[in-house]
Amino acid sequence: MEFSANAVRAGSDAKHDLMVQLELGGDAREVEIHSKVEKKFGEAIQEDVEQVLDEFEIRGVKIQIDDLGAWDFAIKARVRTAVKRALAQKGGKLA
Amino acid sequence: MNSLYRTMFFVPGNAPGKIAKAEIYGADCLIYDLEDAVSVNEKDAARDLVSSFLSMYRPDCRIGIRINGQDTPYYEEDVRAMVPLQPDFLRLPKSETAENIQQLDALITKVEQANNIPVGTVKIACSIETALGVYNAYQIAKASPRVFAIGLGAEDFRTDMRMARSEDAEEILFARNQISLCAHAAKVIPMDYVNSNFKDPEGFKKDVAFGKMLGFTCKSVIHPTQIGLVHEVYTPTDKEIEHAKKVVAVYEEAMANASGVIALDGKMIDMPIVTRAKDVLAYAKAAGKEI
Amino acid sequence: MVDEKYMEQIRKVPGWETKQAFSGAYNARPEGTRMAPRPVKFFRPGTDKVKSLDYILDAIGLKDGMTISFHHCLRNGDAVMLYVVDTIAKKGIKDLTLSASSLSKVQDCLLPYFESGVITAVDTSGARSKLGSFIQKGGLKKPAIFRTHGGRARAIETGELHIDASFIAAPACDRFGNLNGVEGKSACGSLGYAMPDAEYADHVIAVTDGLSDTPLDYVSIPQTQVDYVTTVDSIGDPAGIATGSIRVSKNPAELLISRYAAQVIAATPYFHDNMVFQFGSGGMAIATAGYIRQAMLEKNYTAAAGVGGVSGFHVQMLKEGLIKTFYDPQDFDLAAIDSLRTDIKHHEISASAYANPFSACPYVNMLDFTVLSATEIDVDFNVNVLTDSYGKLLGAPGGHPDAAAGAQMTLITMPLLRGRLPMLLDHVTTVVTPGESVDVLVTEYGIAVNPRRTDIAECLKGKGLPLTSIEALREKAVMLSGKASPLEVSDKICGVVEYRDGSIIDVIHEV
Repeated sequence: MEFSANAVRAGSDAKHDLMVQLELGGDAREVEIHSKVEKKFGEAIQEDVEQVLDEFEIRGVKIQIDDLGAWDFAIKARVRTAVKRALAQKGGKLA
Repeated sequence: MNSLYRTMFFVPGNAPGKIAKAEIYGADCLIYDLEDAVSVNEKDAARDLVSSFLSMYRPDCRIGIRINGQDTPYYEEDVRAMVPLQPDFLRLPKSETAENIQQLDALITKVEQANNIPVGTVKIACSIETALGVYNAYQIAKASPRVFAIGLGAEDFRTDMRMARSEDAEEILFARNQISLCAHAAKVIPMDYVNSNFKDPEGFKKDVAFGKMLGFTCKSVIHPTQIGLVHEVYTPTDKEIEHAKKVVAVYEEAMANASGVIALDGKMIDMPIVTRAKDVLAYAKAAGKEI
Repeated sequence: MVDEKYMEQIRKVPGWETKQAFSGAYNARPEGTRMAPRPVKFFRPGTDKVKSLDYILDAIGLKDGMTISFHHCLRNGDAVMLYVVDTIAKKGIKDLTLSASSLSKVQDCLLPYFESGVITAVDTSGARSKLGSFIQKGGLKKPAIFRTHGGRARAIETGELHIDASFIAAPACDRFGNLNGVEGKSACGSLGYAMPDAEYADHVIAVTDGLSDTPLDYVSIPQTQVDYVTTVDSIGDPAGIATGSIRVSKNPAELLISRYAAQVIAATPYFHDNMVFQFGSGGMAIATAGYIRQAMLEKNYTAAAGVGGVSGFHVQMLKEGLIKTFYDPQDFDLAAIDSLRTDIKHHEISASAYANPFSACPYVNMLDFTVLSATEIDVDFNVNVLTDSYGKLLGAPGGHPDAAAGAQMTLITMPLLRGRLPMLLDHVTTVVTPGESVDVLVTEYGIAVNPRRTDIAECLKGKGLPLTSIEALREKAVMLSGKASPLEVSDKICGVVEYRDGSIIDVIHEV
């Protein structure tokens, strides 16, 4: 996925963590997931991302997840952090 | 789950792998660290991570959060984010004066009220890391009904005191004694300092045993292998357990028969001895011993 | 365990018409009252056995469709399989069945011969990497057979697996054909896995880089079984043959599991003076052995015997007198090889003696307890050691089902999750060791005892151990890992998993 210089990041490339790259904008949610456990948990990861985006009522966003076997709590947390950072950058309201 | 607080295991608040696995080592209490273990760029991420974890899973042990100090821009947001999760306590670094604690108390109250949590639910553990703090240890311990433990932060204390570190921690002996004394005087738990040595189990155990001798009943730990060692040191011997059983039996019999003086082997048994005996049995039980 | 529709497919393969599905860990009985006949040999005195490989292949009349066999005692350093297969291929011979006691990553070099049809069928204990992928794309003419060490010996000795030519990599060999694995620059230790082949194959050829002009003193496989000897510069890479000492795991979670395992063992009557045990050779197993060693020292116990693969740690206990004698089908490092060569209490045994269920008593039956690992386990205690959670080949049954069946108490040490993947499932991806023979699961989140073993459960009460049920552990695994999508599994089978008694316990699907 291509990101501009405005994109925010959250997370890390440590084991059990994930790297989130996110850019607000546009009309649609574009979600790209890379994960070693994609076959078994790809859907679950997608759901986690959608849930957090719903929390913040985000409609337009580009988000890439590079997952290293993170559990649900970490996926949700990292996406939340990325969204909040992006909103803060915009000067928008923080949840 | 027990309330013994023999071990408080620090878990870096921004490391999902460590957060996920921390509970397997059997510490009595897990402390999720938003302070020293987290870089300044990641304070927000750590808050999100710990909140996310604790709202989904609740390890079967006591839960504490080490928040950032009152002199940082993260302190308030830490308290606002963590109190709603209802951890057992928040651990405040750089506790120096009673005012520090009262301020925290007031802030916690506000957040509890805003979240419909009974006021007083979240307790405070005070980490004392300066000369002034050690001097004020008793005031700090008595500063609020929320305070349930005080402990020594040795690293920062040494810096404040311009002390060089010695192998057997002789330079912090007075501070350790002072913290233990003031904690017991204030009837709160004394937390022994973090000994970061996890490669020399025998040396570590000696340090823990020494702390126990000084009256400490809790050790802050930073590596999984330290947990079992602390529990070993704090576990009563079979002899101590046998004696404690006798004391409790004699006490209960005396209560049942409403007799006046309670005696065992010709010695008077008063309440502190009974309480101590009951403690011994609680520790034995926590260690998995049959009593 | 095996769907009837797969059994139907299996019975259609020529030679497999009478294959049965698995029906219990101890239920099958040998057919008939005699082993398969062994070949009669003749050797004219004064003849020289040492010949070129080309000459030998002509002399034995190797042709299309035959079965050739190799042992895997050179592990990831083996160079013999490639050399022999290449020489055979150059003669235009094809359609061979490759029977190896196991296949490692190094045998990826054989892939071109699979692709070109020189080899069209395989029986082995394990397959991985490129060969594994080839098999799982349906590249072979018939399903591969995955056997246990004991099961392979059984198949050879009952005649079910007929070997035309066995090529035995021999670190040391004399001109008469005596050979051993403990001497020479490519020493590998016990040649236990080659012994059934040496006894029953039609033609037995030693391939050596350590030819001795004088008769060998230490003989693992005798000259009476070896038809020809051929020499090469090197039978393999020592670095891949014998690893450095396997070090105890330093991972705190693995140490925790190992400590629990030792505590479980020490609480049962299977831990006693003169016990017999088997520990695997991974970091966690060695850690467990370390804790058991401490417990033995505290109680002044010694083990009457150790059984199974040997590494430096076992050797240390042998030298200390904590283990009185060792029965060894495989060695992993230089310390073990050295010990086998020099220590009179360290015995080389064949794979058949070690684990063949159709004998008066294989050595695995001596075990009081064994500590094994797993790739997966399920709520019925069935264990997978052959595939990962996507059904991809990565391991081997090896001696796992054999040891589990023979031991009075079988412990599996395993993390509950690896990364995000739960290792405790409702059903394992591939059943290799039946739950009937597995007694205790030890994870970092708790210990579960097979409900069949109320005796063990009783012993473990009141010892401060985190006892729980397998169902509770499964729930924990699901809670931690989250919602998993079901795996789509192909209907086409490319392999069968044979239990030690010859019955089919599961199948391998194409991936």
